[in-house]
Amino acid sequence: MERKLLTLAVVCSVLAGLCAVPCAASDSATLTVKGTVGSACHLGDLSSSQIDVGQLSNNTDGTLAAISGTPGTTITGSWCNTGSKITVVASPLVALGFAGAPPSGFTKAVNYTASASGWGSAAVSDTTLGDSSGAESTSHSGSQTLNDPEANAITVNLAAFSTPSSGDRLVADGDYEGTITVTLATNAAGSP
Amino acid sequence: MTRAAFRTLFSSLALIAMAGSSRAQIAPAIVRAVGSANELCALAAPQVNVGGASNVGSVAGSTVSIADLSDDQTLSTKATDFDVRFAALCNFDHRVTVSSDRGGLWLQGGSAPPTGFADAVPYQVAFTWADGSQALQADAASEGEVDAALDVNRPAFGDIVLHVHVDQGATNAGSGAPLVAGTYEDILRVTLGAQ
Repeated sequence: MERKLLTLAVVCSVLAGLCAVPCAASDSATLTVKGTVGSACHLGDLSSSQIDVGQLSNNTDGTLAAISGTPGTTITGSWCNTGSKITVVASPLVALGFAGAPPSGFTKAVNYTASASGWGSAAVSDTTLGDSSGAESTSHSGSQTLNDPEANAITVNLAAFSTPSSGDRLVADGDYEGTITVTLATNAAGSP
Repeated sequence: MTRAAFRTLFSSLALIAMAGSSRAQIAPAIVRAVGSANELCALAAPQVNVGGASNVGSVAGSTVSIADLSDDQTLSTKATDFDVRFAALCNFDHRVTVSSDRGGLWLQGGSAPPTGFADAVPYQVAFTWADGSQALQADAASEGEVDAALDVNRPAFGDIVLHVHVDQGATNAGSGAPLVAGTYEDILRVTLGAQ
């Protein structure tokens, strides 16, 4: 009965800091508190999920127009609490309304370079490799690893538009479309 | 007994911390890139192949002058041939139309010709484009527009080639009829556009 009462008193001291009776003068206790924070990354929201390049062809000879000033889009609120890897994969702009392969000298695909900047000191870029039908025979991507945690906005821009062969004329279509996929992942080799 | 109590407490805290750090799959950000290419047809100025022509006198801009429309001996029509090329482009399914404003080479002005004389010369225009071909018959049966069209169900670029041919002795008053003196004229139009 006495042993049970002593145990109750110690527990009371630890949990509540209260002791109705004086504790033993030489007694001590150590409490180690540990926690774990898992590695995680978060991609924020896109300011716009679409980049409109506008008119792609030259209205004089039907070749690729000089394209500049294409608006970008920004992914805000992204972070990784450890080392990270950002990857960009782009696909060519392809005329979705044009069935089959285009005639010789024409193209239904426009290539470009997509870049993602703001995540680390250097931009990550990927250049599409579509043929005149829009098919890509080689897989490609651009990536970069960061060793430290990062929290920043990522801006996606398109540039360096080109046709599969120089001087290709674009088939008429109101719906050329491609995609840019940005992926963020924890990097096991990074810190902590 | 006291240590056992601590261990129990610590275990509980650690368990809570681990639950808060579970990792989730990160969805990629996908951006659509969009654009468009307008429908476009373009046609350059005509280029007359004088070197391979017969009975062509001069070319000035888009006007081809036949050297001698009538034969000096018969006074009827003298055969004529020439080619005209137009650099062209259409980036969609399209139609090329060749039209004759008057349906033949007709005498400018004047009244009806005397019996036995002709005041018009028929001719043909064979044209090729994008692996297709068509022919316009400007038969001078009556004065008025005639057309010939060729549909091309794909984009194309290159040269539209017109071969203009006038038969020896061809007139609207029968083969070999003499032509009334004067200027004979027609306008050929080449049009590229939607079907």
